[in-house]
Amino acid sequence: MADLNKMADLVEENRVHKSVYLDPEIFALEMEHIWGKAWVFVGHDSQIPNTGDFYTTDIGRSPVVMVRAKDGAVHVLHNRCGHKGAKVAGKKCGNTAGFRCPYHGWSYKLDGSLIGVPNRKGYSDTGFDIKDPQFSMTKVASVANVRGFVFASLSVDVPSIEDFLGDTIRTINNVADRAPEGEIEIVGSPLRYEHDSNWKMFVENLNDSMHPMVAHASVGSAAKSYLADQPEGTVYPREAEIIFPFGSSYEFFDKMGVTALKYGHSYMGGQASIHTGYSDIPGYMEAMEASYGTERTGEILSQNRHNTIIYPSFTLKDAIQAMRVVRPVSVDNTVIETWHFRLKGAPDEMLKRTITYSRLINSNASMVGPDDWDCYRRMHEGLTSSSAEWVDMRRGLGEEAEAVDGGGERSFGTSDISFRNQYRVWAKYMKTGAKNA
Amino acid sequence: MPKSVTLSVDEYAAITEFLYREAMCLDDARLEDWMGLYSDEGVYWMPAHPDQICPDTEISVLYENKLLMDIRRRNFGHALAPSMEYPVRGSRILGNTHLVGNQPENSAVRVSSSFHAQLYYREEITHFAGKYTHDLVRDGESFKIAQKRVDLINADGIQRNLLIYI
Repeated sequence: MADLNKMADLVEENRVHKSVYLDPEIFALEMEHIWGKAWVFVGHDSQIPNTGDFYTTDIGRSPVVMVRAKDGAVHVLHNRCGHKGAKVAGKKCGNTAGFRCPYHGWSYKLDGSLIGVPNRKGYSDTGFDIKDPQFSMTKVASVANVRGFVFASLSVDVPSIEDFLGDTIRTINNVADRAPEGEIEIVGSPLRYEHDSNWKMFVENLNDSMHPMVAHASVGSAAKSYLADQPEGTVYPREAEIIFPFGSSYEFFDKMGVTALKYGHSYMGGQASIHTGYSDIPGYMEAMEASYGTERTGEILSQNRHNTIIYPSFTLKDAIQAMRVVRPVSVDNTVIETWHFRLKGAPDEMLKRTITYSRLINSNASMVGPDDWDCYRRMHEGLTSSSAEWVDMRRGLGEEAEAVDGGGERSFGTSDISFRNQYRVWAKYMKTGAKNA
Repeated sequence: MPKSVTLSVDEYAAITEFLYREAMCLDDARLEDWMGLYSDEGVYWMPAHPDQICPDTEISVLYENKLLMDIRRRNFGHALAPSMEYPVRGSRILGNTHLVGNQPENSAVRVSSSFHAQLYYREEITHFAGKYTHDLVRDGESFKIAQKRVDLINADGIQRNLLIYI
């Protein structure tokens, strides 16, 4: 059995031991000590607008259900019957007056309290009490709602959500502020994409800007070759505007910069990102200025972060209104869900661009996502080699500077600073839990 | 109003032969030939859930016009794509071919068929199954595809890599 006290030995200043990606026992410890202690993204409350709406997912290995109660409150319940432990809600989402376990018929209110047990006389004089929380669908220990983003932790011993999110709150706020009505809503169901790799490889990759110009070179080259064959004066299609920045130079990404924050979070860009060059969508600026005025609109739209990683469970793009949610399944299996937001009050064309972007970049059938998939899988295939024990992360070591605003440390964009930051926090979670991470 | 269409035996044979031709282009990964079977405005659509109505307001697995088909055929097998270092081989079977009750106004004929497709990639065979809906427009003696919609039976399930059109 992997020894918890040895976990810190797997992380050095400039490298991590390969077992953090490969060892199933370490994965089990992560589920307990990271995913069981951190604030984990559950869902967005726009998924459950009406009383009785529910959505099921997992926090680490614990199935949970996010549900809207009669008083409008959003609860996150353990999706486990208080009787014999069967999963109660089986569907991904739906609407119900209450929950009822399909096995022995125990029934629950929307807040998880047990209200009915069939043939109850059999429990007389057994000490059974319907009000005893052990028989309920227990509430998850800690729940917070930040502009509709619902977070939960299986632990009561957590930092405040404000402390946990730190400066990533500005990404969350910016996503919502970009809606002329100041609110966003989830549209449609997510794309769920199975990766045969460890969850941390995906999380690292979202702020890895040494890879796009290599791993994603082909699609840019294919698009260039297509355009070269078109008659002179052909207008660049939107698809080109989305694809080409993935081939941006090292200098471009270096200039974008990367900021590493508390609790393992990080983001790239700030004022500029690969999305800065997008053309305006007619009617959007007008709608924003009508809501916020010119100055505030300028402020909102001047923030442009590439991927913001809210460690360990999701990443968010402010300028694109898309979110990638990480669901670890096993040491070499991870489901990545891509969710999309509509900016309330914005022209439909904004949503169309979000959708187009995601189809071209995030889809399991895109010309970008499968190349990332392949690189993660190659790490699994290569790391089993007996020739070496360590994975190097020293790029930019010693070139960190205090970030000017929002806290944290900043470095040039292609630095490995965000990986080192994640593993520093990883080791602390494994050792002492969330509060000291 | 949807128009009603009836087909002669010869026309039915011509349609099925055309659908087989399309399937074989994909089996052999002949993407340039495959694109040639689509009209200039033709699109390939694989929704991400069974009841999806609109490709613009909800995510799809694929929604590609000829521009993207052309970029994709140039990307397919590209030496710089890590995912393309392995062969992709397919075998598609389709049947239960029939005219759909509600015929679209903008195309000659809407044909539904059931398919099973096996793809070999990275030492693994993946099975895809579902329904094709082809909107075909007449093109001389043959047809062009105005839209092909691919409804996977697991459209809203967890997806794996898809390196080529199904």
